Parts: sequence; C-alpha cells; structure tokens
Amino acid sequence: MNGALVRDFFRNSSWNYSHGGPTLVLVITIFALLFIRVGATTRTQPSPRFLRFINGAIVVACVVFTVLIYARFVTLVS
Amino acid sequence: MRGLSLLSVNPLSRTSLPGGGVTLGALALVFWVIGLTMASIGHIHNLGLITVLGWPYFVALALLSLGVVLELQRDELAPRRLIALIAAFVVVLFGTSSALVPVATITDSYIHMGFVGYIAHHGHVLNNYDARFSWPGAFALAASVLAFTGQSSALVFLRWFPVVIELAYLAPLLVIARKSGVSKRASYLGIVFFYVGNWIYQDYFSPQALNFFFFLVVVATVLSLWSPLTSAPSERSLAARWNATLRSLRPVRWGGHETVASFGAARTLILSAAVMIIVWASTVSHQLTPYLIVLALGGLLLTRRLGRPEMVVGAAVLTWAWISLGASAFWAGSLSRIFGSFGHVSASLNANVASRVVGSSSHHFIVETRIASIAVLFVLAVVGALRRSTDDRALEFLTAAPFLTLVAQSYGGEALLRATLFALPFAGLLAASAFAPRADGSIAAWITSGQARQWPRAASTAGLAFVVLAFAIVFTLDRGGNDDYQAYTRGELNATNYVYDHIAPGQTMGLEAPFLPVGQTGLSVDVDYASNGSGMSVTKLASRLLRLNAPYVVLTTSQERWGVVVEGYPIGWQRQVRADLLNDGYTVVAHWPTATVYQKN
Repeated sequence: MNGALVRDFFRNSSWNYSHGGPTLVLVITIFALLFIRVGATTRTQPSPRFLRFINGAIVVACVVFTVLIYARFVTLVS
Repeated sequence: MRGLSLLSVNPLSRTSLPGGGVTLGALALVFWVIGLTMASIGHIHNLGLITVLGWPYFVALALLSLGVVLELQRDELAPRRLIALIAAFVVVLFGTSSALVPVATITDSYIHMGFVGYIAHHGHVLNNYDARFSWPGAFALAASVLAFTGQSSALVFLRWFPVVIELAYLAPLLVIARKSGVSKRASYLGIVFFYVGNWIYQDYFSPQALNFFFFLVVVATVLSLWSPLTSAPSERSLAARWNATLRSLRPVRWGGHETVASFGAARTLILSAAVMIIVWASTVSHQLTPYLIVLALGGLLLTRRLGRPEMVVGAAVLTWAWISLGASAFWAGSLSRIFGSFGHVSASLNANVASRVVGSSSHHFIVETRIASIAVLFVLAVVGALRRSTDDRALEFLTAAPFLTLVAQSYGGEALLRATLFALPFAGLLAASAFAPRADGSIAAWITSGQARQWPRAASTAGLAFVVLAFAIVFTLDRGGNDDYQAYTRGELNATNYVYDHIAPGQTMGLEAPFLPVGQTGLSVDVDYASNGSGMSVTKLASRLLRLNAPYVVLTTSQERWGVVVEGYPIGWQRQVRADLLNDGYTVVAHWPTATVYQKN
C-alpha cells in the first residue's frame, strides 16, 4: 500500500482527529475486556465459545486501537 | 565432560572464622571508612575516582569478596549473613563516590532537580520545554516527596541517591534470584555479579533509576506468581531440543496454560493488578522502560513463567496510549526522532560504541575496560546457560531481549548501555551458574558437569574470591572513570548559582561543555554549549563560545578536565579560552578556586 495514500486518507478523511478521546475510550474498552477475561478464567472454566468471543473482541479492539494510534501519529506529524 | 564446580561444598570444610564472612564484612567497612578519610577528591586524575582511593579501600573490597565466598561455601547457607554482606558490598561500591564528592555528580541529576522544583512550585509540567517533561511521573513523585519532607529543593536527595536506589534494587533482585530456577548458591553470587558489573551509572537522580526498580519489581512478582508446568526430563539431542523450542509457539503456550500458579486465585489477582499499576506508573515516568517491561512480560509468557497473557496486552496498550496521548508534545512534528533509525542496527551500534572510544589514552583505556568487563560477564553468562539444567529458559530470554531495542533506535547513543543494564540482573545469575550450575531440571544442560571435581577448599575459595575481587576493582575503575570531569566541586555549584541569581529570564549561560551542575533552577534560563561533541580544536571551541554571545560564561575545572580527558586537549588549554573571552569584552565577576564567572560588558 502506498504510504502517501494512507497518510492522505487519515489527513483528509473523517478519521482525522486531533484529540485523544477515541483512543482513550478504546483503552478503557480493551481493559474492560481484559478484566472480563481474567474474571471469567480465574475461578470458572468458561466455554470455548465464550473464550473465542472474548479473545476475538480483544484482538479486534487492539487492531482498532493500533489504527487509531497510527492515525494520531500521521495527523500530528503531517 | 568432566566439570568444575567452584562452589561445590567440600563435606570436610567448615569455616573456622568466628562469625564467618560477616566478620570480614564488618572489618571491610572499617577499612572502607579509613580509606575515605585518607582520600582527597581534589587529587583526582585522568583515570577518575580510582586514582584517589588508597590501599584500605582495596583491602575492604578483598575482605568483602572473601567474606561472600566463605559464606557461599558453608554447608548450610545463612541468607541473612549473605544479604548483609551484599548490602555492605553495595554501600562500598556505590557509596564511595557519594561520600567523597562535596556535591552530587552528573549534570543530568541537576537538570532533573530543576524539573522537580518546577513541578513542586507550579503544580504542573512546563509543556514544550524538554522531552523528559512528557513522562513526568518520576518528577511528580519526587516533587511530592519534596513537599512531604518540607525541603525547598531536591538537592538534598541527589548526592546519596545512587546508594539508596541500588539498595532498593536488592529486594526484587533477591526474589528474582530465588525464583529464577538457579541453584541457591548461584542466586546470591549472581546478585554480587550484577552489582560488580553495574558500572553503567544510571542510578543517579533520574527517572530511569526509579523505573529500573519498577522493572525489577514487575519481573520479580511475575516470577513469584507462576512456575513452569514441567514434564519429564527432555532428551538431550539437538532434534529434541529444536522440537521443544517449536512447542513454545503453540497457542497453549501463548495462552499461559503451561504455568502453575504459586498462590490462590485471589492473591494472584491482587498481585497481577499491582503489577499493572506499576506498569502504568512506568508508562508515564520513562520513555524506554515500558517497552522493556512489555518485552520481558512477552518473554516470560513464552518461557512459561507468566500465566496471564492479558498482562502483556495491557502493558502494551498502556505504553502506546501514553506515547500517543500524553507524550505527543515530544514527537509531534518530529516522528523521525523515534523511528528514523529503525532497523539501522550498525548505525545504532556505531553511535553506542565507536563514538565513545575517543579522547586521551586514559579515556580509551577506561572505555575499553568497560566493554571488556561486560564482555567477560556475558561470556560467563553463556557458559552458565550451557552448564545449567533448568525448567525454563526465562533467564536466557530476559538477558537477550533488551538488545532488541537496538533494532528500533540508538536512543541518543545510549541504547546499548541501557540494554546492558536491563540484561545485567539475569546475565549475572547465568554467569553465577557457570560456577555453581543447577544439576536437575526438565531441560538438560548442554554441557554436563558429570561428577564435578571437588577442588581443595583453599583453591576454590581463593579462585572465586579473586574473580569477584577482580570484577569489583574493574567496577571501581569503570564506574568512576568519568569522575575526573563529572564529580563537581562546591565552587562550581556556587558559580552556576551565582549566574542564576543574576541572569535575566530568556538570557543564555554559556559553557564549553555540558559538565557542570546546571539546570537546578530557573528553567527560563537557556544553557548553551560551545562543544557539539564532534572533537573540535581549542581555537574553534573558543570561537564557538564567543559566538553564543552569552551574557554570562562559566569556566570550570571540570570542563578543563573534560577537554584533557575526552577531547585530548593539552593541559592548560583553557588559558586560550580565557584570553579570548577577555579580549572579547568579558570581565571576571565572580571567582572560586575551581570556577570563574565571566560577564559580557
């Protein structure tokens, strides 16, 4: 993927933002998911289906978090 | 292969000395105090602190080395005695400089003192002033301590800070050593190796000193919380070892399922939460340490010593969230400062090693000795890794992982030093395993000791004591090697305080080089240096100093010594700079035996 295209996308699209609100919300979301996972697996034996769901949610949240961090970098640097 | 074990206990051996090694330790402290009274920091030479230390200091080191080895050779180890001896070692190794210098060493400790003072007086950080203010946690903590203790300035903390923080490291180090899976004797010897190898001087009043403590506490807590799920002793063939390594990549390993919790669920959860709070504190306190914590947690998961993969995710999220949000003032508009050198390992190594081997022959000697001493310790660590049987390879991973940071960037030419520091506690334990390897474990040693040869007691005691003593002497040379120009006098501190009292906000204080106690007050004052570290002539240095057009210029003995030691200038080179200043319209407005303040008319 062309780096300039990616930068332009973040700079010019609605993904461009200048405050940390979305990132902060996502950090809280990830930590909430982590707490749920820790809580569920500490005393009980959760079903594989629940584990797949919570693991998937954490992965998706982390991917979105990474995208937002990248957006923040490129918008503040450019 | 027939092995050697210097710490194999001879069944016939009994220490006949009343009180054992502790008596030698007490005697060592007496000799140390005598040595301090005999030493005069004013007579320091090119090789630094070691040049002012008389024979009693070295007798103290010898007694401590012998005392530790005697205690390690007891049939039943006495932990309290060993801890007392190691603490005495720390005081002697790290306290000598603090006891001899009239004011704290290292310019950065004064700059940090200025940051702490600013937060204490204003209640907030100064944005866009210095990158370090983007990670203000440690400064804010120090400001709180300042207010709590009723001190008007952090100067009181600076001088003895290295000894205090090094002693603080001892507690998590003891836990790491005990839980790391090395033999009992190797655990104490490994801590000694850490201290005698830690010449790196990152323990001055700084966020990194505090964050290294955080790092050790995190690793110690995780090692205490989980043990590896062990199986039957593995086969020793290369293919079997390779298969075992591949097994570490299975999802079950990454899920933390191949661990055994040492405590109940409630205690495990509480301690895990405590670890995350410490990680949080670290993410807002230091630029580098959080990444090393993430690396360490990832490695501990990989090596079956972390049962909660959530902690790796949480630590990484906290680290990246802070640099994205809290520290954006640091990198906005200059992202290349962070990632510009990514992957440039050779450039990073050059910035970290080759650029440091410069200056006079004495400086060359010190830098080369530093490199050699670390190299010897790491070679011993490799031997220890090969000789020891174990249940996990966490120590090996924790030793190697910090060097991955070299791939990312040179960290201003300090990445190798920092990586070495973070690897040192674990390298020390591995190095100790070269002398006292653990014989049992599900992972077999590469080099088996077989029936270890029982050395005669006197030979093994003398041999190991000599190794420890040699490291301790080299430590003294390495750590104090820059004290010739980094150990400041009271006159130099008075000179900069004089300037701060008279200079107007926004004006510049001119210096030849950054080796002076500056930054302790008045963040509104610019401090500028003539030297850019590129090795210029005295004439060019003087010319650049004049071009700073600073209303105040401070010339000191420390800067003169820097010129001789690091730049290779002839003794007395500052005469030319003084003459140029006077010809350019500067006059002397204040003078101390080691410092002169010039003011532009």
